[in-house]
Amino acid sequence: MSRESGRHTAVQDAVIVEFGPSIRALRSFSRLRRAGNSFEYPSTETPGPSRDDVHDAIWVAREVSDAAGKITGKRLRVSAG
Amino acid sequence: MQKASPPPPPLLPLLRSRLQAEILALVLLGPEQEWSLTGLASRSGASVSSVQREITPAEQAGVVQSRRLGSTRFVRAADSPLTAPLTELLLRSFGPRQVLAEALEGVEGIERAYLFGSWAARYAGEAGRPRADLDVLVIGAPDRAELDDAAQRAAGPLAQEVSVTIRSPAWWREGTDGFHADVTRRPLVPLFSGEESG
Repeated sequence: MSRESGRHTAVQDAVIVEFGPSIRALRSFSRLRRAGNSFEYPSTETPGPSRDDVHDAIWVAREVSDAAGKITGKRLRVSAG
Repeated sequence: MQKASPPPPPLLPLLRSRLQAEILALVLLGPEQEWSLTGLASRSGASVSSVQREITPAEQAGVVQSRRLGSTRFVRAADSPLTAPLTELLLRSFGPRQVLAEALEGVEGIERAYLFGSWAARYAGEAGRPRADLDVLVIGAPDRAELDDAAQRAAGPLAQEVSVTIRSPAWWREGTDGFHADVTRRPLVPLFSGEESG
């Protein structure tokens, strides 16, 4: 099994099943989680994040945060800095 | 004096050559498709006579069947007790290039795509440990969600994780970081024809 198995996957799967069909950005969470794991456990075949990777991650975080805010009725803040 | 045979391919050393594996993978991993020998030669970069040499024992083993239409010989997967297990072996060993190419070809914004890392090294003939993840380098500016969906769809049948790294065409041409140096120094296997190998 992979090193990421079980890590946040239960929460991710539940959220995607419930809200993924209507909120596209939530489906990108899985992509970021896998990228995060690969950056956290670097190898000779795994490069660090590029500038575009970071911009993409911030965009997804904002979208997911906005979606979570709408679902829960609370405003959440995502800092880019 | 006997002519020296090429060494067996490290991705599946049970087979006698990479060409044999590639041709069997093309035919068996797309069981609904019928191939002309010329088509297989074109896809594998081999001569028609080399393709024919690989197809004949596969047909004798019953995993491939052929028919003639005029002067053209067409081949396709045959229904035999060996077909399913052999297809599974080819999928797990040589399948990544074919399965990933099919999955990614519909994603817009991909300028180039390569397998790199340990799978590419085994493909290029380097002996080594079995593969972990499949490492894919995409050059271009694709929709990241769409690309990820396509890559994850391919990961299922391949039974391996697919790790995609996206970089810009400018990075490909002029990159100076350590990853650029590593990836361009080591074997690269293009997913789409018309791209040079590394």
